[in-house]
Amino acid sequence: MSLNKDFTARLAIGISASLIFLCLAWYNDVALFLVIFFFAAFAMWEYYELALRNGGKSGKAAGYAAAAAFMLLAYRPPNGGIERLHAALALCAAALIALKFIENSLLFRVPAVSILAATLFGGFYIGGSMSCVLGLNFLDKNHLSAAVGDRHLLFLLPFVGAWASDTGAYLSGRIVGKEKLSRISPNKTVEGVVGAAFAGFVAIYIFGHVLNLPTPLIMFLGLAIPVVGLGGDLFESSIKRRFQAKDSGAFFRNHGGVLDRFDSIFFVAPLTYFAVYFFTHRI
Amino acid sequence: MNNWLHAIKADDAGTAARAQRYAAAAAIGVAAGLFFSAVARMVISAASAILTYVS
Repeated sequence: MSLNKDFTARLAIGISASLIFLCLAWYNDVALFLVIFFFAAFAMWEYYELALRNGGKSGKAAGYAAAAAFMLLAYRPPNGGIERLHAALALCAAALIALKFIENSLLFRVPAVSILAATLFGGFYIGGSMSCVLGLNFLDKNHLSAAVGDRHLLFLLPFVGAWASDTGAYLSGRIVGKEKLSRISPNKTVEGVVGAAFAGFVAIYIFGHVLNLPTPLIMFLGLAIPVVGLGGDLFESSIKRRFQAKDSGAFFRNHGGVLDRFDSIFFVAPLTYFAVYFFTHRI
Repeated sequence: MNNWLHAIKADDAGTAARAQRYAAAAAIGVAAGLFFSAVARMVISAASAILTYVS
């Protein structure tokens, strides 16, 4: 596909998704919750389709339930109740680490542990991450300093950072890319990473000032989001490679599935949520 | 950085070309970031206009 056509298609996906999310966020919280829930459910369906390839096993229903639980915890938390989401995320992360430890050291290759880990991971990776997008929109105003501007624009921050980095990486890689970055994702180049870092920083710097965020938070997110987004991208590529798939699905036709388009968001959203929470928290 | 500068001075074609590619990638990245920020502002304005029209 030519650079112009591919770039235009990527941009169209980004603009239309952002426009829909923003209109819904401003119009009605429930509508935003439902559309993010829909994307998360579709991404989970793609994940379990991948995980069940080649005879893999996982408990889909439990995974969907875990994801729904995360997102409901993020939705309109009661006074100070956002900590329940934090506790759930921390417990799930701890459980995954424990399962991995058990599988590796104590009960090597026990199927039940693998199935449980694959199930829990689906809920955590997608539901947990998307709950952080919702969390940004539903952050209690008491948690935000007076400096932060429109609360309803906050949830766009991870999308702007991740998609600007993706755009920078794509254009730099296509125009001057030469040095291969990793065997996990053969199309990525070192020049693309340089472009992603600069694009992400500039976009976050400008958008952060539009939101009137504190400067230390803007600098932190501007430096961290491109790197973490690249990590999310490589991670999803490694999952696809593990299950020998080119794309996670065909939701966006030639541009892959929801997992492909939101891969960096799944890593960037929790980082942004917790950074905004802790940097702007009134102590 | 010193190695790059030294390589450029010493006319090390490979390293100088790499430095140029990185510089070009950085410039493209800055341009992409500015472009994406403009797009984000446009999306915010469009959403605001749509909601004003709807309500």
